[in-house]
Amino acid sequence: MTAPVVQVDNCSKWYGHVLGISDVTWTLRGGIVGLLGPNGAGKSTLMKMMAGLLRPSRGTLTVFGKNPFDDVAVRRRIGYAPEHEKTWDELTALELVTAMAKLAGVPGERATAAATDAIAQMGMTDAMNRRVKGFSKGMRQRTKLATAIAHDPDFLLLDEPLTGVDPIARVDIVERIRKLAAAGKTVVVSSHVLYEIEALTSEIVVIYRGQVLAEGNVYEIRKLIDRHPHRIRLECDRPREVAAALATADHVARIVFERHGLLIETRDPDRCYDHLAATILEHRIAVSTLSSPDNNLGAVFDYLTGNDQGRR
Amino acid sequence: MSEARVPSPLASTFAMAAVTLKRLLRGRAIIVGAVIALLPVLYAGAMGGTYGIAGEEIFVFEVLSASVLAPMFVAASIGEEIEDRTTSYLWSRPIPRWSIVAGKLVALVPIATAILLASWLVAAQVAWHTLPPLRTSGALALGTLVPSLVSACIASLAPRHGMALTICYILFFDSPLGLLPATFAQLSVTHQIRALSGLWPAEAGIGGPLLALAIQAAVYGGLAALRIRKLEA
Repeated sequence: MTAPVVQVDNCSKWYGHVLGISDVTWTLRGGIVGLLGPNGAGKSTLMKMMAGLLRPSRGTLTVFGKNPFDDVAVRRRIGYAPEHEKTWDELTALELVTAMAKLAGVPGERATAAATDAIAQMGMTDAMNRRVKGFSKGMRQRTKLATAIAHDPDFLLLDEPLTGVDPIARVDIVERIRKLAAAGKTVVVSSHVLYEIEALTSEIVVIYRGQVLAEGNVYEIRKLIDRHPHRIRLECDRPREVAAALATADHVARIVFERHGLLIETRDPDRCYDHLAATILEHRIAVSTLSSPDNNLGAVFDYLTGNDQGRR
Repeated sequence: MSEARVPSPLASTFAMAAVTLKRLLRGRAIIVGAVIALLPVLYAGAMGGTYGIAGEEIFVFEVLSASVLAPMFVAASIGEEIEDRTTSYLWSRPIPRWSIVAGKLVALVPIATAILLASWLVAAQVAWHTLPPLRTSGALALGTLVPSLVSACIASLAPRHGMALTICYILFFDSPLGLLPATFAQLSVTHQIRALSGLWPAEAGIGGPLLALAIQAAVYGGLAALRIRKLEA
């Protein structure tokens, strides 16, 4: 069995009275792993601890067998792209990535070549001599990724690398991250959006309220999530007619009348949306709002942990 | 296979200094700094030409300029890095954290010193049409270094308001402290700089002020390094 890249044992982190992560035990041996959880779940805290930015309040965390907070040398093997956007905006992308490569130990004479290569890998060659100040969010994300890979680390920590990126760039970045993993890097990618993680890897760790809730294959997690009744909120002029049309459908679990419409619970969202659309057209219903309270991953996690009892 | 090796502390200090210098030269701080350094020259021109002026008066003005310029360069640079969380890039690199502070000082102190020395030389020319004593220039150079270390220390403790707090500390605590009886005055950085210049008090030797400034530099620099080492992103 290969030695673990990351070993987390009963690790907790508090910020004063606020809990970052709580009693997490987790082993990462390699490959590409998605860290999935809603905002504030503790993903970034865990990432920062692995990158050597934070020290555990309790428990131990090692990367390649060393404590990354105290051991300077092990950080040479880590490439970290933080979640936030701020960088040294006065510099050009090439200057920024070159400086980061030098600080990561790439010899001065090779740093520019390494930076140029990293920028090219992220598809940013055309913009590398422009100042970061004028970059779009997607370009900043790519530049951040280039700073993370320029020194050719063995272990990459990418905190929300797809946030704010347009769909075309997203596909491109996903492909580039997959290439890095295929080249033998261990990659941890965090996101609060399930389909972003699904596009990258099938191995995920679900983190919620500072704890590892589930770990394993994304399809197993997906099954768990799909068992959760999906809720559709409809505000319209004649909710009773819509309810009558949907009431006998086998995909509908429950219908609740609300002040201006209906809350429909279904275990088969695709069929339910089709049925709903057909009903609306057939009865010429005037719809003012159609939304799903469950688009928020937090709602699903609340369901998985049984924390949504009061709402159901 | 990666070519990267853990950089030596010296290499990381100079890499950090190169970036800091580049950022300084592209920002506004250096222009504002030059304007501040111009004020003693204008004072020398106005007062010296009309009424005649003592060297110590302009020198005190220069020390006050250093008390603003050093925090403006050093405290702002360290404070911004922590506040903007760009430290997360730096602290994930295989470098000792103190080398980040050292790199900033290596880049910023010579620039601040050069600006203030130019100001002092020009002010002396304007007021008395002569060069100032070499000892005063040396004192002014140290007079930029030690407040820079004070700035680094305060910015690492209170990054958001590091620059303002350092200016307030030097102007409203350290400077008045230097006017108190000798026991207290020894603790004042600005007092020691004036003493080292030989202008005021005129009988002061070099050894005492130099030692006091060295101790203060070590204390403030050490505190800054310790604080940066413990900070979390």
